[in-house]
Amino acid sequence: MSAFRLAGGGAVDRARPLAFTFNGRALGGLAGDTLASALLANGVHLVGRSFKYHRPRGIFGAGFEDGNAVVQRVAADAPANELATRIELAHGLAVRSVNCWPSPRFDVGAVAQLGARLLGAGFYYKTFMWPDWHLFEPSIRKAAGLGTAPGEAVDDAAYETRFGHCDVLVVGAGAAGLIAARTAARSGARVMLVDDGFAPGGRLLADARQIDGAPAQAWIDETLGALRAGGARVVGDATVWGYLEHNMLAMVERRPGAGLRQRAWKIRAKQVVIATGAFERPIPFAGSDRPGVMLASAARTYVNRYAVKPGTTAVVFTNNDGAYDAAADLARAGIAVTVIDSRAEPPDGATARLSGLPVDVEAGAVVQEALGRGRVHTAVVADRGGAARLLSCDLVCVSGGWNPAFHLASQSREARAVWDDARATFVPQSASSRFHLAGAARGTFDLQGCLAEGARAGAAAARAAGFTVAEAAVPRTDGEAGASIEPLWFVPPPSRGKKVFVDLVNDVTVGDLALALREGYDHIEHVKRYTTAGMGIDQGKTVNVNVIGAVAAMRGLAPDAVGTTTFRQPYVPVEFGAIAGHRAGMRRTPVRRSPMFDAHVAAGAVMYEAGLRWQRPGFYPQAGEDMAAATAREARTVRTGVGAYDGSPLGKFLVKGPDAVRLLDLLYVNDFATLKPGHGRYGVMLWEDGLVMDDGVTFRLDEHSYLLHSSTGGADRVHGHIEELLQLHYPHWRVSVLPVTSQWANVTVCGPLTREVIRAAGTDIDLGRDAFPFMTLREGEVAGLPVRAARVSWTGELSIELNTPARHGLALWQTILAAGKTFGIAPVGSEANHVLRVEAGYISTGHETDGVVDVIDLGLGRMVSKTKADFIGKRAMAIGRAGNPVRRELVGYLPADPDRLVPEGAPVTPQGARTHSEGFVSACVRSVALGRTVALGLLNDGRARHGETVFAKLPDAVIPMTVVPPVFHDADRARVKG
Amino acid sequence: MMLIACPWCGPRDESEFVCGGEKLMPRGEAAGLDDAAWLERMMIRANRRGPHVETWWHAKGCLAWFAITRDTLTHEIAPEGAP
Amino acid sequence: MTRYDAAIAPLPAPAIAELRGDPGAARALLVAAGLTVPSRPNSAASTGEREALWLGPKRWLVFAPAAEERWLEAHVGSAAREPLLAAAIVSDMFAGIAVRGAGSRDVVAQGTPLDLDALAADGATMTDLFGVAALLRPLPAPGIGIAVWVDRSLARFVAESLEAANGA
Repeated sequence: MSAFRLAGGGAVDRARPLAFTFNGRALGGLAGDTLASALLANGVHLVGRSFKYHRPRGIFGAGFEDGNAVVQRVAADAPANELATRIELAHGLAVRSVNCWPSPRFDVGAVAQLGARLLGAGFYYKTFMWPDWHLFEPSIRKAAGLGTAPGEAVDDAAYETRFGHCDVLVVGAGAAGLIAARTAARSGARVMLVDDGFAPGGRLLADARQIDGAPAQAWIDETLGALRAGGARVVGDATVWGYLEHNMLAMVERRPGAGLRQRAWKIRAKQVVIATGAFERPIPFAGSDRPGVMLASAARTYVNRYAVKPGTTAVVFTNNDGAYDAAADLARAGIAVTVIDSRAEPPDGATARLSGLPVDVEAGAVVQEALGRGRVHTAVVADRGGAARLLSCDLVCVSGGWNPAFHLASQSREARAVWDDARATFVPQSASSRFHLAGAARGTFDLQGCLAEGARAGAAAARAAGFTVAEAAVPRTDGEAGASIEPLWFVPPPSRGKKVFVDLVNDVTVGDLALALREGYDHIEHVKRYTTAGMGIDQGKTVNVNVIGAVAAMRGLAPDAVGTTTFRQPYVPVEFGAIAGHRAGMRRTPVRRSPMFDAHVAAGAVMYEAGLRWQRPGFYPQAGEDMAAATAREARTVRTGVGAYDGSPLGKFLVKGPDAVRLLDLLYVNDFATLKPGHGRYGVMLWEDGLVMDDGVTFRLDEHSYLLHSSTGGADRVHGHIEELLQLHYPHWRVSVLPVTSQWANVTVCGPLTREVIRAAGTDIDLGRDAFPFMTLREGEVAGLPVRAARVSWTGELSIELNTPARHGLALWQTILAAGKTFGIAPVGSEANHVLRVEAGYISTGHETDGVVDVIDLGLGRMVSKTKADFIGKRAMAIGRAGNPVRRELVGYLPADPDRLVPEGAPVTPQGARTHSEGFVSACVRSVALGRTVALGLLNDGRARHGETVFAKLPDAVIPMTVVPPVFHDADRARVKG
Repeated sequence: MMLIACPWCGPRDESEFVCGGEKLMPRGEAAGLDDAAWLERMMIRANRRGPHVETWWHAKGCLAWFAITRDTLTHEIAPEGAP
Repeated sequence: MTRYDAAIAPLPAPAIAELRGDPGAARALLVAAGLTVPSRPNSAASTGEREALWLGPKRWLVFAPAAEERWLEAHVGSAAREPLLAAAIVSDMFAGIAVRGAGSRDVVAQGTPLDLDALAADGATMTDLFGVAALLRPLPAPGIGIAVWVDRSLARFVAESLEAANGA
């Protein structure tokens, strides 16, 4: 058995020894140990080196409050910055120190202490600036930081994110939380109890207390048993790390089981009980950062819970009553204890706790310094008069008071921190109807009080959630020391050169606080940021109140006047994987697929997202083809023969009702009243400010029914827009809208041989030019499949859209391609479609439309109704045109070099100079119709400048272009209407 | 994530909704404004600190559009007409 | 065996019709078709093998066996002559996925913020599932299960998300 293990007691299992290594040294511990307790059991106190000054550091706390004992597990999946106090000992665990080389004992980095004067708070604002900060930056960054992140992605790390619901969420399973959960659960409320310890019980696990005459563990077990039997969910080793809006709380479960690494929860709770306990704070003094100096409550935890003596001869330095119980437990474990109480007259209720124990108490004295390098060996004790004497010791336990941990309540924005003189700390004040504070988190430090408050809070929460609660008796506890305290924020160092560390994690000293104040950083938020006090991985849990107290003392103010800094989430470090959850990996975002998706992939199409998460074929490369070659071939095939593309993602809406025309007339710039059944009309939809929102063809089906088409990417926006108009602005209109986008698959056949292919597939529709004119609709069959055919074209060629219920989409697609084989049909992707529409001079929302041009600038002025009193965008367009006489208009550009592609978005500037643009290129393609590059774009007064030479300005070139009309193929629409 | 009280469904999670922004005067009523006031309605928002009225669309729910009062400091949500 | 051991499988495609518009007209049409009208928002009412769902103040879905699509079209679908209603057959617009088993709640809860325990046996509601709109409907006893109906274009994405949530 290890040298410092007690023979009996503790929650460790002496029948299950575990072997582990620390810095390569083989050591032994027991099941139930943390790494910290196992190290202490072996007498190992020196754990690593501090962040900035590379000072030897040890184990300071026993849980999350310790930011000091940062270690690195030697394992592929070990994250950086784990705490020795928060690693459960496992057989075969291998751990090493951080921030020291070659070892914590002989650390080359310790040379940093020689330059300590240069490394004070904010040094990076003042030093290492000349000649250039960037020369020093890499070295300083390399020296900063503690642990190491995994070098490679951990492939099999499975994280889960999920939502949870409950009536009462109890945060913290200490005494107050356990009884609150039990009380709430008894009412029938759905209860969730979350605790961040390795086992539930909070401080009951550390303090050797009695409840109802028996050891507290019995009460803990009984309470948990009752909770589980009643269906409550108890989650251990889990932290509620954020309080979000409307009682949603973020929680991470670190040992979820089920093959998961971690499980992240977002819990919506009707009511919350916050029973998160309190953290002890130290009294900083010179050398209080040395290994062997720890919180009194931590020492008590190691003795009672882990059966470990953190030392053989201890000095307990305190300013409050609570440390006397710790001193008593240490003494009972056989440690030689001397209590140094800074108060002149410690209350009898405190000293009485030591009766019968061989403990000396010296009142009115302070520990001025702890001596020792790798381990404390002497405490320098000074009395009121200043006379100092030396006390040999190998352990110094410090207690400066207790800080309620109400961070979570504060994050809710419904609690404020208020200074409490009697407790010499900040307590939460809240009138929230959504949560209830109980126990030490509220500033109640005695166990009996915690139990009473927990029961009350649990009952109040259940009632507020709508349940009736039966009162039950609160268990009785044994006695304890009181809670009186005289604040002591730090002990001034015996000489100027000695550092008093107030924040161990970031190596911040009392001198740094004074420096910040001297330099004018008075506000506590500035002090925090300038010195980085409280900004380490412990987020200042044991530090912040000491900093506030010290700053208050230095400024001659009450702590309340200094105030606290804002509490922010996360409360403890949370792995990114837990937050990403199911969004990590390939299923990151939704993907939409048309009914012909698999056929496109099988045909070798390169697929990518083209609007609103739709996966669309960009091009179908044949052997040896790159994108340009495939695109040119597909476009050429449509121009000279026939092609087919999948138009299924296009937005489709059924618009029905006596007021359907009123809606269409409101939405579009053009007139719809004259549209006859079986006919379609291309419409442009504007925003209220006159900019183009969307466009598409609307067909009239019968007297009251229309089929409205939107762009693929605009479908959801158009749906919301229409519903908003009908519900909030025109609720009396009798018209309904029904989106049917995915109900219909769309195979669009385009090119001069379109009719031949559809006839070859077999149809009962008369496709003749007069029987089926442009912009009309016909119903019938193709290859035995039901089809609604529409003569619509975006390609500058004859084009027929074949719409069929999605279940037939794949069959129709394959049938058309088969029937078209003899005509040399090719499947056509988005890239070729882009070429075709640019050649034909059709605008595309998002390319030619921007935040400036209106529908008249885009050459569609003839579409705009002259008779409608109102349509969306009309008034703004008129006001805009009246105020801006220079218009940016749609034009075509022909690059002087017929082979030169101009990047989309390239600005057009006068003479190609680096100055304000007069337009830009919105699209540029290799035209298959003209055998050269062509472009569309916008240009100030463009319509009056045809024939002029303008210049596209690129970062490394100026490209001359001729301004031409914005259409390069089928300008008279003869092919489209043929 | 806020809990938004849909008038038809009851309280639902914010992710089911699309925010419509500050509630505007209905279009029909706005037609009577002069150009300056009409443009202000189009472009200027009060951006109030404290309770303000905004619209939400229950896009992944019942498709209702409705207005609520939300306090921009505390996120407290109340019916549209709340003081 | 997967983490939650839920059985995830496509549901056989039924015939589906959708109604949007005036509540009075919608109810009258459902009654005329011999269907029970759901009385509570976000609930379903069955008549034999047919089921009407009330999913919004102005939105209903009607599910019927696939073989009855003609009947559905004639009585509820696009054949509806009522000007105050927009109606269409939308059998092809939805894809159904069944998530069954004791772990079915654990699986679905990973994708939706909806309180699944509060969903009544006759409940039917739209919600957010893995970022897309989905209709959730508890499957009938025996056993625990949820039917998930999503837009057809998202079926594969949602099925993959459910499988991943199941720990497959």
